[in-house]
Formats: sequence, C-alpha cells, structure tokens
Amino acid sequence: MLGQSWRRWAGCVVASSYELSHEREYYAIRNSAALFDVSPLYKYHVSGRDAARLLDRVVTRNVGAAKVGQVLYTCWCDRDGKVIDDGTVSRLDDQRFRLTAADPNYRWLGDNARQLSVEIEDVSEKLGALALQGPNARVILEQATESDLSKLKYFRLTTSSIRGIPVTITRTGYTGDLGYEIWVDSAAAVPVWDALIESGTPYGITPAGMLALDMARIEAGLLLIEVDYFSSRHALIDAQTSSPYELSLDWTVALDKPQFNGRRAIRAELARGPAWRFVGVEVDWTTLEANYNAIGLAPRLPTQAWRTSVPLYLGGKQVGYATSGSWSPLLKRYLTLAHVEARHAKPGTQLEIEITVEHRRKRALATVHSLPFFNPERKRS
Amino acid sequence: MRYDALVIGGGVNGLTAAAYLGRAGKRVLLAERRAALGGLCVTEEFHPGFCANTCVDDAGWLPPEIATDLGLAALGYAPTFAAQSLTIPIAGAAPIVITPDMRATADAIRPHSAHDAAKWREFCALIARLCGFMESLYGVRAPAVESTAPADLLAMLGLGRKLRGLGRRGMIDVIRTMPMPVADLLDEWFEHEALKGALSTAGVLNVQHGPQSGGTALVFLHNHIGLPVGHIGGRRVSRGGVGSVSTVLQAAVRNAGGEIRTGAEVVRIRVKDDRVTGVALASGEEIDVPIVVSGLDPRRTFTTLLDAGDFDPEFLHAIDCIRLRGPQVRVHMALAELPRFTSGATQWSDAALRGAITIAPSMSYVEKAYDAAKHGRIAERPWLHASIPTLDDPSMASSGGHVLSVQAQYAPYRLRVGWTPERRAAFADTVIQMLEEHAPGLSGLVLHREVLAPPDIESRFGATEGSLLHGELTLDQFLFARPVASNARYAAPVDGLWLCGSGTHPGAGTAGASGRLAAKEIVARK
Amino acid sequence: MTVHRYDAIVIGGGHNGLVNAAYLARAGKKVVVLERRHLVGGAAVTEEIFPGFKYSVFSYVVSLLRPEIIRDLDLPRHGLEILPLESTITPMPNGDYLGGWADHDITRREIYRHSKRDADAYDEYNKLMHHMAMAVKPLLAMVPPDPTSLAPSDLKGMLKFAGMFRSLSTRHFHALYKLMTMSAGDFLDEWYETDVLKATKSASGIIGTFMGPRTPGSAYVLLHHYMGEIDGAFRAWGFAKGGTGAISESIASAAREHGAEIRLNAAVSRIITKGGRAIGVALEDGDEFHAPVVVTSLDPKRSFLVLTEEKDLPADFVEDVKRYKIRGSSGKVNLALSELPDFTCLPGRGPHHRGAISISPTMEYVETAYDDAKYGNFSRQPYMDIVLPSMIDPDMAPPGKHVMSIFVQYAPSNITGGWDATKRDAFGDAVVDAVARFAPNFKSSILHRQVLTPADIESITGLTDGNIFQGELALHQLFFLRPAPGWAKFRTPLKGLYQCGAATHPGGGIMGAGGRLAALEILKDTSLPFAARVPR
Repeated sequence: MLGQSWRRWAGCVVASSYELSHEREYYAIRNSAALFDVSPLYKYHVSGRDAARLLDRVVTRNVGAAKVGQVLYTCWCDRDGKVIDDGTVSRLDDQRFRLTAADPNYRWLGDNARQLSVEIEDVSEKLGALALQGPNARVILEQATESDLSKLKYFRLTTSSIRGIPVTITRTGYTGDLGYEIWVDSAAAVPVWDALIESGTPYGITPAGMLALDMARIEAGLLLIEVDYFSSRHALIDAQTSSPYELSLDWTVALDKPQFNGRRAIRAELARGPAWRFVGVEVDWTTLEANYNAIGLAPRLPTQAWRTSVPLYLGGKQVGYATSGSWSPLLKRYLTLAHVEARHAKPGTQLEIEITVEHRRKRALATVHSLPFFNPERKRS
Repeated sequence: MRYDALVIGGGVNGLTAAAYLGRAGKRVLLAERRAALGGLCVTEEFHPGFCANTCVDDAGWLPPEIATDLGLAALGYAPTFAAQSLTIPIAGAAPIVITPDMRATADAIRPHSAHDAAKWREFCALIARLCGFMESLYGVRAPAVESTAPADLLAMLGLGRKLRGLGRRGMIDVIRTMPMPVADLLDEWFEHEALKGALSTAGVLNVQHGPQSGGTALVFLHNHIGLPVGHIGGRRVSRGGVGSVSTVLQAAVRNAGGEIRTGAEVVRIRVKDDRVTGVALASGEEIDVPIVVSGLDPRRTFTTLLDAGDFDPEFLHAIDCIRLRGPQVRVHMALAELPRFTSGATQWSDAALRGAITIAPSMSYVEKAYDAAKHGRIAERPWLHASIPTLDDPSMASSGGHVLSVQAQYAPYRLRVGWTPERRAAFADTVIQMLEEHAPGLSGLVLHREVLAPPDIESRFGATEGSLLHGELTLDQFLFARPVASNARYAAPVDGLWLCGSGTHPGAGTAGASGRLAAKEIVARK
Repeated sequence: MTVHRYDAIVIGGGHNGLVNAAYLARAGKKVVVLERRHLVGGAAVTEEIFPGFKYSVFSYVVSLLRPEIIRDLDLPRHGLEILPLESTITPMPNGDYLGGWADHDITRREIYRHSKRDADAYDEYNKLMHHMAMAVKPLLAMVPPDPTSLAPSDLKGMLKFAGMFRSLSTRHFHALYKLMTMSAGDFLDEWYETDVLKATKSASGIIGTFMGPRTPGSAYVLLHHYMGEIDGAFRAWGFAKGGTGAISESIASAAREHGAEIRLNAAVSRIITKGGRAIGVALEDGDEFHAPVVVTSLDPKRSFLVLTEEKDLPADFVEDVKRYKIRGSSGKVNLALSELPDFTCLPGRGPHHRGAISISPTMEYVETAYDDAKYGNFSRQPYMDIVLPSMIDPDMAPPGKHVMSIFVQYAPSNITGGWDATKRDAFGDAVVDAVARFAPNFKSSILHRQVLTPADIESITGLTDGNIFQGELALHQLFFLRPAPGWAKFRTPLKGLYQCGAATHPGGGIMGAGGRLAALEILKDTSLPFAARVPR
C-alpha cells in the first residue's frame, strides 16, 4: 500500500500510518471506527492461589477487590514511590489475571513473587491484541461476534468468538472513545483482523497507525511512557522520576490496602503534598496567532503530535514543561499534556508556553485544563 | 507491653546489644533458640567427658569500650587474653612457632630463610599500624561515604584525619593493602613457601577465596585486630573456652535489668503498616514489642522470619546477593592420650603443640584447595588448623585424654554432588591422615570424632550456609556495604526492626562490636 | 659518537609515545621519537607476515582511543578510519549459540530465547553500566591527585574526585563500589542466570589481566572495557581500516606534520643522568640524544630497572617498581585462512563473521582456563576472542581469503620451565583444537599460522612479560597508585624524566590518554610560552 510508514515499538515493527497521511485514520477514531494492532504491548498471565496478592504487592490499585470480569487501569512503583510503568490488570478468573505493560516486567513480577504460590507467564508473543476504537466499534464488533455487547460496561471484559476463534473482549482503549480491545491467540490474530475489517467496512472502519493514535490519546489525556514520564527503572537521576500523584494518578492509589511497593514513600509524599501535577495545558489561539501575524504569517500548527519537552512559564519563571502536544482537528484547539508545579496546576491558571515562530523563540498564553480534553458520553455509555 | 525491646539470638553480639539496651533503661528480653547462650562461640561436650569449641576457637577482639561500659572486669572478664600461636611444620626440622616475641620468631625463621627473618619485625610493625587504623574504623558506625549530611561529613573528616595521622607512607599502605590479594602482600615480604603458606591462611579464613583473590589482605588484617604486635597468625583465645566471654556478658545483661530466655525460638517477626509489632515464638506464644533486634544473620532474618511482602524486592535481592559461603569443616576428636608430633626424629616442643598447628605448606597449595571449592567440590588436600585445647585447659577432657580440634578448608556449602554422611566421613579421614603425617599413630588414639560440615553448622546454629562470619568479610561486604549498602546502619527498612549480628559492620571477629554500635543507634533513634 | 640535541626525547614509538610526541611538537617543541623496531606502533602494528595477509599482530580492536586526541590531532585526515565490529557470538557445546548484535531489539530477542528474566535484566544492566562508565569516564582525562599530599592542587583534585562520586545517586554509588571490589563472576551472578551470557560478559573482566572471572577485582576491568562502548552511537568497539598499525601510522603522521622527528631502528640502551636529572639517552649504537625532557613510554620495569641505574633512584621508588605487578597472561594467534570458518551453530557465511567470536561457553570453562595458568601452564582449553579483520576490511587478505586474529588467554609469562618452540607449538595446537570444536572446517582452512606467546610479545615489542596493559589493572595499581604511589602524575623521581605509557593512569588499551596527559604535564613544567600554545 502506498505511503505506509513504520516504526519500532517494544521490539516489534508497527505501522505509523497506513497511508501517506494519518488524517483519515484520526477522523475514523472519532467518526466511525479505527482498528489498531497493539500486539507489541507486554502481556503477562498471573495465576495461582496468591495471584491477587502478588499483583497487590506490585500495583497501586486494589486488585483483590476487583470482580471477575473487571479491568483496572493502574500504575506501579518502586520502593521510593516512583512510577515504574502503567498498564491494565484484567481479572479473568478468581485466581487468574492478565497484566498489560508498556515495558518488560517479567523479572519484576518474579522478584515480587517471593514466598507466594503463583505462576507468571509471559504471553507477550503468544497473545495478539487488536484495538477497535470509535463510535461504530460496538456495532462492528457485535456483527463480528454475532453477540450483544450492550451489557459490556466500560472497563469490563467478556469472552466471545469471531469466526469460531475464541477471543476475550475488554471495553478499553487508548483513544478516550467508545472502544474495545480484542485479545486472541497470536496465531489466529490475522483472521480476526480480517473479520473485523470485513464486518466494519460498511461502517467505515479503517486500519490505523500510531500517528493517529497519538493524537487521540492526547485529546483523551492519556499518559505515554518515555514521553510523558520516565520509568524510574530507566531514570538516570531522581529528577527524571515521577510519583503517581505527580502524574495526577491519585485515583489509582489505594492507600488503605495492605503493603505494596512504594506505599511508605507515597504516604509520606501525600503528607507533604506532591511537588508536581500532570495536567492539560491549552495553547491560547489569539496570542499564538498574534505571534505569527507579527511577522506576516498565518499560524502554523503541528501536523502530527509532538513529543518534545517545551517550557511553561509563569511571570517569567519556568514552572513546568509540556511533554506532548497536538492540534486537535476535532476540538479545533491546540492541546498539550504537561507537568506543572503543584501550586500552579489549578485548572484555569494562566501560563505561557514557548513556541518557535519562524526560527525564533516566542511565548504564547496557555491555560491549565483538567484532563481529559475530550470525553464523549459514548465512551462509558 | 512488658518489654521495650526484644533481642533475637544469644550470641556475643545479641548479649552485648541487650546489655547496652538494658543500661539505657529499656526493658529488654533476649530470646535464644538453643539451650545454651553464646551463639557460635560455644564450648560443648561432643563426646562424654570431652568438650570442644564447637564452631570457632577465636572469640574475636572485644573492643575495650565494651569492657568499660558494661563493667565486665567486675564480672570476671580478664581484658588480657591468651593468644594462641601459629605452629608451622617444616619438613625435616622443628616447626616454626610464631609468638609475639618478634626476636624469637625471627630466630625461628632464620635457619629457613635469613631474608624472611630480617624482614619479620618490619612486617609485624606494618600489620600493627594497619590494624590500628582498622580498629578506629571499627569503633564507629560505618561512615556513609556518599552522604552529604553534616554529621556524616564530620565522621568522614575524622577518619580522614586518622588516616593522615599515619603519615604519607602509612596512608599509601592502607589504601594499597586493603584491596590486595594476601598472596601479593606476602610475596612482597617473604620468600619461604611454608611460612607464606601458613600465614596466607589468615587471609582466607572462613571466606571462599584463595590467597590470590583480591581483598584477602583485608581479611588478613581483620583477623589480626586486637592481637599483640608480632602475633602474626595468632588467635584470641579466652581462658575457659570460647564461651567464657558470653558467660560474662550474660551477667552484664542481667545486671542491666535484662531478661534472658533460652529454648525460646522466634519463628516470626510481626510487622504491621511498616512497623514491627512483636514476635511469635515456636511455642505459639506471641510477644508484643515495639523494637526487635536480630542477632541472626541478615539472610535468615529477612527471608525466614519476615513476610516478603513487607519489603521491596530490590532490598530482598540485595539480601540474596550477600555472599555467605561457609567454606569450613570442623573436626573434633576425642583422643585417648596426647599424640606425638614429630619432624623426623625430633619431637615437637610443648610450645609447638600448644599452637594452632597449620598444615598449608605453600600458598599455591592453599590456592589449589580453594580451586576445588570454587568449582563446587571438596578440596582433596585441604589446608587446616589443628589445636589441642586440653593442653591449656585440661577441664575440656574432664575424665582424662585430650581433644584435637581441626578447622579445615575448603569444603563448600554448595557441593555439586551434595553433602552425604560418607562425604563427611571421607573428609575427616583425609584430615586425620594429613595430621598422621606429622603425628604417627594419631588415628589409633581417636576414641570419637565429630564432623561439622557447613550444612551442619547451618542446621545446628542457624548460620545460613554455615557462614561463621554471617557474610564473607571482603571489601565489597565491608563498612558501608555490610550487610547491604542500603541499610548499613543497623536499621532495617521497617520501623522498629534492627540488626546487631556479625553480618553488620564491623562484623565477625570483633566480639560485641556490632552489638554495641547497633544498641547505640537504637538508643539514639528514640 | 654523535650527540643530537632536542627539546624532548620520547622513548618508544607505540601509540602513547607517538601521541605524546605529537602534542609536544604541536606546542612547538623539537621532539624526537626513538623506536627500536623498523616500524612505529609498539603493540599497535600491522605487518604483512605472509605475502598478501596483513595482521594486526598484537592489539587488534580499538574502542578506548580518546575522542579528544582524535579531534586535537585531526587523525581522520591522517588516515584514521574505525569500522564498527557488529556483533559477538559465543558458540555453545550443545550446538546452540548466544549472539549479541548491533541492534538492541534483536539482541534482546536473542537473550530472551535463552532466558526471559535475563532479557529484562539485560536492559537494566546496560543502563547501569552506561551510567557507571559515564561517571568514571572523567577520570580518564584527569591527572590523578595524590591523596597523601596537602598541596592545594592535590586537595582540589581530591575534592573533584570526591565530588564525582557524590554526584552519583546512593544507588549508583553502591553499584560503582561493587564494581570496584567484586569479581566479574559474582557481579554478573547478581544480574543474570544464563551461564553462557555470564561467561561471555565476564570475559571482558579478565582480558589482559592475570585474574579469573571469580577473582575479586575483575569487575573493574569489566567497567574499564565498557567505557569504550559509550562514545559511539551504540557500539564503539571497532577495527581500524588497515589494522591497528594504521592507528599508529595516523598518529605518527600527525606528529610529523607538527614537526616531530621519528627515528626507527633506534634502540635506547640507557637513560643518561646527571646530578639527579635525566639529560638524555644513549642508543645501542653509541649515539647520544640530549634534551631537558626525556619521556619514556615503556613499562616501569624496563624504564627504571633496565634503562636507569638503580643508584640514581630513591630506594623506596625502586622497591615500589619492583612490587608493581606485571604478569603476562595472554597470547595471540594470527592465521591466514583459505576460507571462512563454518560454525556448527550458525552454518554458512553470515553476519556473525563480521563480528567477534567469543570462545567462552561456560563460566567454568573460563575459570578453569585460569586455573591452568595459576600453576604455570597455558590453558588447555583457553578463552579466545576471535575476529576476522578481512571481513571488515577486505584489503587485509587476498580476495576470497581471510585473516583471523585470535586473542588467547591464558598463556602465563612465567610458564613452568619457560617458553620454548615446543611449548609454543603445543599452545598453538591447543588454540586451533579449541576453535575446531565449534567449526569443523577450520583446521583444513589454515594456510599460515603465527603463534605469539608472552615471551614472543616481550621479545618483539619489549613489553615486560608480554603484558598488554604494562601492568595489571588491579585496584591497588590504579589511579594514584599507578605505577607507583606518589608518581602517578607522569613525573618520576628524576627531574626531566617523564612517563607516558599504559603503566600510567588510566591504563591499557589503545587509549592514548597517558601520552596526552603526560604531554600536558610536561608543558606545564616547561616554559610557559609553549604551554600557552596548547588549547585549554
């Protein structure tokens, strides 16, 4: 196919876009349906008598309290209460869980399993993962599975089959839209992909790549490791690490559950208050435009999401930095995700953001915004 | 709560810690699993009427502050202890006996090497200087080299000043010697193979390293702390057996208001919300107590008494990585009468028999013995120290006869083929046969023998992997890296839990030094 | 007898001597380099031993050559071109292999094939080692301060030294301490479970030393070799086009351009002293060279115990030099091959031929190789690092044919009874047999064989005991203790006599750091106007 571009992800090669431009793929996410191959995610099956206990030692959310069929988004920390990684925990059964992760965690899980009766299996290669996202995702998947999915609630899972191939379906995704992720034996993933494309064609399905996904996840205010934060495992200096609070993941921390990695440090941090918050920052259109107009140009907008660190100022002093940003074609707003010193992180706070206007550094006004930027009702309904 | 603090293990360090805590006004209980106190420093009857120092012959250097602080003199502790000499058999000649009398030692060496005899006094002075510096390191908690806290910087500065006090050459000697292989150190000074072989054993005692391993010079120095100048290769022996120090310390604990329970095995340390809440005993009894001080080795403490979920995996991994590796076998023999040690026609002197008879004819002999252990095998020809404690203390064989106690290396804890009774017996046979070469007829005198391989020391005394040191005392497990770098100041990562055993700084061979420093940290914390 | 006068005389035309001369000449000094052999390079030479086959006779890979030297002397303009070595494979006794490739993802998958845990550990280990190497690297460009001195410059140096460690996080400081004190084997045991991986990694902890992977102190050597890997994008171990001799030639060319004179076949027989100063050198043919500055790039035993008279030096310095451990532990076998070795584990021609082949199948194999050497024998089954330079630079061999360089350990310099032709042949046979186990066509492909024992290395290059680092990289012989306490700043007890070889800080490998740092110190000591011409 003309114009495909590829990139690495977790030791695999995935499509950045399937066409010369990723624009159509982006609109499909918000307008019809997009199908992503997210198989490079690291995936682990944790089973056995102490499976929940192991996960509860590792992650910040209360896994023991999760119901069978529930999926939890969570992060996990080192002993200093700094985030190592984030991902999801699915309770497949009473004593059987699936953990997805952005980084390899096989060794870490094993290290935490001391004295526990638990089996950890790396199913990263064995298990394929397809993400079907967009307003038409449900109808497409219902047709492909010949089943009713209206009962499947947000962050819940069910089992089904597509063309006789058994699949697990979770109502999850990385776009902040109505969407599902389909988990299937990797050997059977291609027929499932084909079946979804076939069922989805009348509903405007399109295969989509990472460029479109990146724009959607910024609108949805979702973190990306190595971009928005560094795993404490890879950080060279302490300043590169972040706590769950500093990533505004407060809601994922179950302080009242028994011991988990980093709890002590997190409690201490909570007592003094986190130093940073992770927020949305919207670039003000008027001052952006004025900066360009001043030199006789119309505003230039990024054509794809960017992943560089951009300083944020308040009263001339740097108070934060944006780590990803994108023009939202849907919202018609210039969005960024940013780390801001906690005392300046209240929504509505006026900051300045550095912009480069025709080779020169300028500043535009920017406003702190709560996340997500885009939160359609269909995501949960 | 009835107690403010509970000390696990009645070894020398546990007793010292309990006595210090008691003196600081804590209501302290010491719980010992076995019936006898003293930990690894015990004298026990191994055959009716015959006693031996079961694990170690050398109770270690008791820092003088402990004797003063705890008033040990009044309890019968004699600060000047006997020091056992080193007896080096020489083929076809009388053995060399190394005593604190440097002139006499040099005279004994001279017939075999004029060169070495001429160097002796200077070598002894070097070792004394270096040990003097190490003693000052052992009197304070491990310096936090990487810390920028003012107290730590001051402590570092103090040590720096001590180091400077040694003068230019002295400083270089310290910096240069510690990381060296003991073989290189001895090669720099001496030429006589048998002398070097015997001396090199002090650099590899209780560690699974050979004389050519870097850092064994540090082990050599460590084993000379507190010995009189010139007493190279000597051992610190307390009258009344190695257990006499713990007898005195027991009294000190009681004087300080502490309570001691023997036959009380702690099976679990309870932790709630990052705090120690108490312990559970094997009897089922639960004791609530806010401070628990473990005199056991760090591996045993963290991996058998506590729930892994209360610690982060990185810490536990570091605990797993502590090299324990007990390499030594003890063989105790009950003898019908005193064996006749001879070199050719010459019978050994009484002084030679009273020494630690060292069979290690050369450094490469010792190195080869080590090679076996490195590859998970028992040395075919181990090096050994043999002593006859009954010569100095006839009460150890109360109904007559003599005791011959041997420590022999290397026989690793982790044997590729696994330890069996046959392998233990075969090893003892080798030991007896080696001694028989110097004491013809020895085997006929053996009424009974007891063999303790590293797994036996582990099961009987709780020392993991049979490590008498609670962790090899090598450069990477020294000072601020003992027992693990993240927790080298006695405090464990949960509140109220402390370590005081010889797995902490300054470690084995320094009787009570760890216990004293741990207690001081505990008292300072609250 | 003729007397020649110069500003500075450099004894020995190895890479350090040449770097030293180039820097001195660049600062305007009239410099002569006196080289005993007919070519420059010392242990970094390329020679056509058999017609059409060019060998990097001794040193064969480069990674540690200081970037500031490459920049300052503009070496690429003088012909320096370093080509990357792409990979390392280790054939295993069971017919499998372990590969480390240039691409991180491919290497990770390869390790994952052997152990899932180790694949995770590998990433973290690399991060740690990278950080450690970055932390230690500034030391390479630093003149070691004397910790026993209270001179302001030394105190400042010590503070800088301490500051480097203080800037590390506690976790990293402790890791560095472990690296400085542990054995490579124990250090790797803390990270990995795959034996062949540990064996291959631990091998870089023993290269050039008389230690086994279980000898404490070998973990530092691991770090020493790792430092070279962090300059390039991912893997800076490389092979110089034209062999390692081309590196020496490029430095020589730069030195000549700056006005240095290089005399070949000029063997120095003694250093001439007068009133506690070195004033020049005498050649074996009787000619004398006089200069206020004499720089020796030879090892300290040769410089101070052979070329200098003991009575001219302080007794404790002589004692320290005698104590300095050199001990040769490695040999070299260079082969001309009619065809590539066909490895059972990776049949046919493949990318692995462009990288290193490590014969280190198990930890026990490497450790046992060391055991042999400890008692005065060469290893019956040695550790080997093999490269095929003709695969990277085709000009090294006639078309279709190949040269193979085999670095072999252990071959002790103090072999029982001394080295002779019979032992050399037996050693060569042991090497060939050990490779042939993994590549059945190997023996029949050998056209020519050159076997170099430590004795041969010593007699050709002059390196005492054939030790490639001019002295062991052991903790008690590093930094301010290298080569002797108090004399780590490139000066010597004789005024006017300087040292610049691998026996000075920071040690061995084709690094050039000693040559450069010594030159900067010399320029500091001599007239200011010269010094002022040296940038920074």
